[in-house]
Amino acid sequence: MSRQYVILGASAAGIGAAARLRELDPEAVITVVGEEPHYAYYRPLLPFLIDGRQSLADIAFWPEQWYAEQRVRLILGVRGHRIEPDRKVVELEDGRRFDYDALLLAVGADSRIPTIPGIDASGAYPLRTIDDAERIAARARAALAGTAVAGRRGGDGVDGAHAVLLGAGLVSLKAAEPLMNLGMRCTFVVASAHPLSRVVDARVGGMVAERLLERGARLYFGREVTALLHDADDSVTGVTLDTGESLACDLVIVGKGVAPNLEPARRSEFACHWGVRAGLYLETTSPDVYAAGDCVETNDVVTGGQQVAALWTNAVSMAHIAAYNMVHGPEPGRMRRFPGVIGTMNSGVVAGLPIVAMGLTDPVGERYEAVTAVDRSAGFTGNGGPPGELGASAGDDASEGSGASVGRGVRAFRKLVFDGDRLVGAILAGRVDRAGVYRGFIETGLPLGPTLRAAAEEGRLTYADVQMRGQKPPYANYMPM
Amino acid sequence: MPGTDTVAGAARSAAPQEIYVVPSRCTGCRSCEMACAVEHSQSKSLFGAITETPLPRRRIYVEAVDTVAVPVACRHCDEAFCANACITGAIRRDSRGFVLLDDSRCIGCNSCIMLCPFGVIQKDETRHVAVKCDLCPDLPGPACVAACPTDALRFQEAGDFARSRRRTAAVVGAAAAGGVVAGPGGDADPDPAAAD
Repeated sequence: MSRQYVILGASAAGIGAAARLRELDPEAVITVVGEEPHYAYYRPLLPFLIDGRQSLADIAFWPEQWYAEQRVRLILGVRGHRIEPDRKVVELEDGRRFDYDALLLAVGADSRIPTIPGIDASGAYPLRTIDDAERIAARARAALAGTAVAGRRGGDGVDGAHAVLLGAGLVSLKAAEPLMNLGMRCTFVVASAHPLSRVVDARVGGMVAERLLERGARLYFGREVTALLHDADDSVTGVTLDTGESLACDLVIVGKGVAPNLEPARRSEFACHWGVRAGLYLETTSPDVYAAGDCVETNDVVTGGQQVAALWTNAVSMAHIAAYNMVHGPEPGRMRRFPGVIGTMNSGVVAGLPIVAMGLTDPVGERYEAVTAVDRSAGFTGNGGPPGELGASAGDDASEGSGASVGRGVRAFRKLVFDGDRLVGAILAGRVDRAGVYRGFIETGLPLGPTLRAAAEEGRLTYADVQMRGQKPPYANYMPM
Repeated sequence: MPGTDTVAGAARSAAPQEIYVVPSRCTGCRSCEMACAVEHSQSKSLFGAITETPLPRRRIYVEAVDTVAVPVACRHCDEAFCANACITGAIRRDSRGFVLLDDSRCIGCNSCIMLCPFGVIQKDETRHVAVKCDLCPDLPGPACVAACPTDALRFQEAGDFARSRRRTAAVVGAAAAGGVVAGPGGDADPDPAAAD
């Protein structure tokens, strides 16, 4: 009799697991339940829907026929409700019930919406789903046509279409890019002292801020939005700051991060903390139920603590291991371990600046030693990023290194954070070649020793060093050697 | 995962050929880098390649460790972190098991560069896309391997490479009394060609 696998969630982790399950078990019955009424798509590409650079078809994971070819039964537009481990049955919100031999909880995360007056008004949106992106796109076009807010005039220094972004984290920065491309003025209201405060230190945050200002954005630091203003039709007209000042606007982007979707797990009485608790094999506290992706709380290999590391690559890696264990479990000897995550691991071209941030980028404590380097070499041509990808247009070399926080002419910036002989964090900005070699040391915790440390500090660490110094290479398990 | 496997099962269980490096045979001549860049140029000739704008990029890197040269090439990893990390579907595993990058889908986010532990994916700063080894689909085998004058690069199946290395190790063991010196990093390999 064929094994029955049910996957709750149809994004990176859910579809990734389905594909791997099909490889491992050609006979299995695979059912995937997705909350959004759309085929799976590359969520990080949502910003391209806003300015129309890409279509729904462009951002799809697979063409429609893939699901039929792989014999994946897809149920869209409904959430999982509860899992009944005693009966090995899962119930969906619409009441449908499915038996399972093994189940994967990959229900992801939802946008975190702060509880401030007016936040539900139309024209105030997070950016997490296709629906969000389409509503933002429609509102932005209305704003540019002057029809979003009836009778809105300038008065706070912005004449044309104006968006206010709550927070300057990755979501806000990604959302701002297409809005600026479309011609909207963007104002960031940020509680912390610099952009990307959860990812980078003040210095690189300052470089980002400088580049945003050059693109015409406005930045308020150390401020909170205390209320959204709206008209009689419940349509956003502005925001009020904690200083009492108010800003008129046509659109508000809510970029306050995401929170794991814990509802099905809680209803099913699985252990949850910040996220769904998952063990070494990505098993939950319920037999034959595994978890993967943004809903999962797992081991942080750098701090040794627990971490919800909502990140595409983690979701995919977890999905592969969870799928393997769904097929081969539950005996531990037959299952594969998930090694854990690096809490912070982000890469992108932000306002024209390529940035990779990994591990503890700005830790507090005497045990940590930060080594920074600035590259002003004329030979380095910089990297403006692709036109519009989170930043300045192509050919912005003139603006390269204009981050006043590190001095004019700076092409690249590197910060390495050591705990004794171990590398525990790194920021590479402007120049990110071989970032993965550094990441290998952060993930494995291997001591560098004096020679490799010198190479790292001088920015010339390569995999060849690792190989030839007699070190056990990071990822030895994955190497075909 | 979406992004790694276009064909279920078959590719993974087959034993695809891979580029293997015997560091002790490398003289640092960089013929592999040159051949790689030429093969990935518009003209596919050295004379044409050096006049192209943008200049073609190499996908294999001869790195220096003190005075020793070590070529580092893409492993086309089984669990390919670069493909797992790709947020656009640009990097996928094909039916032969090769991990390939479709640069028309690449947005230059550098995620693959952050994930690759070998540092062999780099950015084409002119076109704003990542660049990685494609094992030269238009040739019988990779250009870098064909160009290597000292047999430091091999294009073999894992089992064949391991067998040749074990034979070499046996030769080294037998010759040890005769004072054969191990290569850098303890990589004993006086003459694998003879051992093969």
